[in-house]
Amino acid sequence: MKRHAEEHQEHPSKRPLSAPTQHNSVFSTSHLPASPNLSADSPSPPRRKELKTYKGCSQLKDFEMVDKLGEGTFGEVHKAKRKGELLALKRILMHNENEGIPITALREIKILRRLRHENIVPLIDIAVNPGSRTSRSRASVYMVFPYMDHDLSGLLNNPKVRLSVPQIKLYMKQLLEGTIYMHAQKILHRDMKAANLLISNNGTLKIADFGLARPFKPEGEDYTSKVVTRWYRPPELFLGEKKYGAAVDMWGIGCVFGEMLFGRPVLQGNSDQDQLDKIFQLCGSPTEENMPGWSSLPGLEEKGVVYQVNKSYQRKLKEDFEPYGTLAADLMDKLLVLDPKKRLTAFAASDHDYLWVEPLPAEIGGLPVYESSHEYDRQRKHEAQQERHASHHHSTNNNNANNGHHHHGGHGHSHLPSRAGGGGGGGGSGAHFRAGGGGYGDHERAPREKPRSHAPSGSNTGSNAGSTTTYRPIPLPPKPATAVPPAVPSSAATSSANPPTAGRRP
Amino acid sequence: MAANFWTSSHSTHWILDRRQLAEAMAEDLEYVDIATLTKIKMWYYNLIGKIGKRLQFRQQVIATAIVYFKRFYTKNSIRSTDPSLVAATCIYLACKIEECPQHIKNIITEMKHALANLGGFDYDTSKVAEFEFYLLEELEFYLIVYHPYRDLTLIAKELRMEESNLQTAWFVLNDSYRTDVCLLYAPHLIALAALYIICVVHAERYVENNNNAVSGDDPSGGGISHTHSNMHLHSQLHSMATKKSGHHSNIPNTEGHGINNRNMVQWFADLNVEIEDIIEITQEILSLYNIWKDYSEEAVPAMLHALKKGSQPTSPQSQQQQQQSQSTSQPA
Repeated sequence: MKRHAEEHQEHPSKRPLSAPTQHNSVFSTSHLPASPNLSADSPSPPRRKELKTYKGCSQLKDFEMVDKLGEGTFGEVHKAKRKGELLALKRILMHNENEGIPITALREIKILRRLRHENIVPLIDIAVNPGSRTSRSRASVYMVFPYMDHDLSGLLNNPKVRLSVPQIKLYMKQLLEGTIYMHAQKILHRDMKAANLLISNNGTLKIADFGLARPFKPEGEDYTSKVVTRWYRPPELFLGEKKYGAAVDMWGIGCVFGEMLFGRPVLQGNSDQDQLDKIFQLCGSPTEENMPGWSSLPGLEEKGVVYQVNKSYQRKLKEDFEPYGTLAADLMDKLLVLDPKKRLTAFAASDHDYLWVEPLPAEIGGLPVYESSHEYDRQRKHEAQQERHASHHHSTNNNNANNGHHHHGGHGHSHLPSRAGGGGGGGGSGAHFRAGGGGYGDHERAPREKPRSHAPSGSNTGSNAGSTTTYRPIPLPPKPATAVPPAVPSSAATSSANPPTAGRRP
Repeated sequence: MAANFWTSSHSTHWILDRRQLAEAMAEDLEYVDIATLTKIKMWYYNLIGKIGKRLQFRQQVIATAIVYFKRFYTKNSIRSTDPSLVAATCIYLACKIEECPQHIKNIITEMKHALANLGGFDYDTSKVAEFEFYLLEELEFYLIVYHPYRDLTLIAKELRMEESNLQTAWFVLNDSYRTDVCLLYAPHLIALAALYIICVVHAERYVENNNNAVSGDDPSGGGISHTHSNMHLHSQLHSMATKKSGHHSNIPNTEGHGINNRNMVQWFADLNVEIEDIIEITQEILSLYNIWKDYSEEAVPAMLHALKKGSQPTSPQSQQQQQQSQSTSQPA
């Protein structure tokens, strides 16, 4: 047996730094103390410091705050510097001081610590600020990530940016590779969307914001269906499916892919009902054939709402995306599939011909470099603009102003209750949801159930909770040639009055 | 958890060595001897286990809480902290991490109940919530703990081990959390050590049965049947612990009579692990049973008092004397 033991020295276990030659068990009273001089040589030491020889989490004071990148009710993101390295610090907010660190934040840390992949944002460190009892400042905790120049949503909204096909393929490839890994690690992201995909100037894409992510559940256990930002939420979740799986992320990936082709989110519903209707307009009405069991799904039973489903839509997704190429349309067609069981898996999607024929995906580093663009930057720009042009964008001005305004409504911190005030009633349910997009920001905690009540220019938005807007064929993206206020879309784009944020707020 | 142990923080940050453990205990050892300190800690492990049982946690939650408690005390002394606050916070955090969240008030109520006659538990929710922050900092936010239960289950499946043997090995694993092996070794090694102990017990029983050819009292043919209570196993392990004289590297003559008629000596020899590690873990667990013999719950509060209030550090000399005469001087 000894012989064997020696032969198998390559055992991967980390060997103790100073393996004892004897077995001096702390429990066997016969040979104590373990090493006699340990207790003898330092009479009354401040040992606590000495003991901290292994690397702990860092102190917030080691970082220099540079700029704010995003803000929401669930967290606040700062650009920071440490030893010349640019980082993004996401603050964990305590919803209830008496419950300690929220379980959601602990989950995110747990999951991020477990995932290590080129296309998943790495949690580099945790920074703590102990607070102080004398100055009554609260303890705070930050997650430390590398700083990335863009998020995909910000990038797509940058008027100077027009994605080339090889570039879209490069992003798509990385998104799928990160997702393959994540799903292989049995993690569901549950908030897949453009704003949660971080992109660096060399073209690297990283999936971020695991605040809603959960490990796969054993068969038969339920999840909540109240996840995923509305515009990226798959049909089965609207219908109340609680036993979903990796396919929910794949729907979101389909939406992101369409968004890259199209230049704008593909399915911009302004209420849950409207979203579902838009999905069916594009993908065809559900039948027992294309979505088995759809009619027996519970629907939104918590609220007593049963969605109305128009039974006469024909699927026209493929025709709509044909202008972007047959293969692109085919990939879209296989991702935005009503039946989650028939939706492509990440692995199958990465094998799709689209990614393997000319023009091939661009190489990392071979892309144009853009000025940094985050969703939050845009919000701030809009805000500044809005202040300047307050008189021009009045509440009666619907179409053009709406998207820009709504961005504010949803994302802008000015509309949000402050953390201190917002815990309880102030912001209504909005206080529980994060406001901002942006991969560093947080996520909504649940989908928006209520129609938005505080759209800034309420003339027509108030009524659209019930009204159903029609889905229109997707035109080739109209890109303004000059630097126009970025988020003011062409009015032809969509009749949806509600902006991205609408999807994230009740 | 599906992720790989070897890349986990448990593996890369939280497998310590004995020197680190010894340093961690140094301050407390100026006030009490190591046997006393061990018993004090054992009392708190039991407390965590008790509260976990009352709140009907899975064993894994209890195990995680105990590991947090141990990890915390690799950086702090018991003397300078209140272990009951630490224990409560460890339980609370373990519930969150293991996805069985408990209201913080439930845990505090249980703590108050358990400590009613022992000075009580004088903390409210905000104190525990605040302390969670310090606990997380000391744990460096490395929160996922791997436990040997899963490994044991896998091994048992491969060996097609009898339910009763698996059960016994499981109890040994539960006991192993009263030692520091979970800070020192990878979980699969601990699982193997538990299996090893079962094999030795098994073999000794087999030899015994052969010697008293009557063997009427064990119709199960040498197996550890589930009729043997945990206590029975303990007494057997006690006797092993007393008899231990370094012969553990050889499982006595189990060829053909090992678990499921497998040659366990060969099975262990074929493993790609260091047998020395397994033997060390085995000895550590066996020495636990040794110390358990003269452990009494009632004596612990006085020990704790000695640790907390002892104003003069015992000098190294007196400490050694104390160790020599410890069995008499304990209930101070």
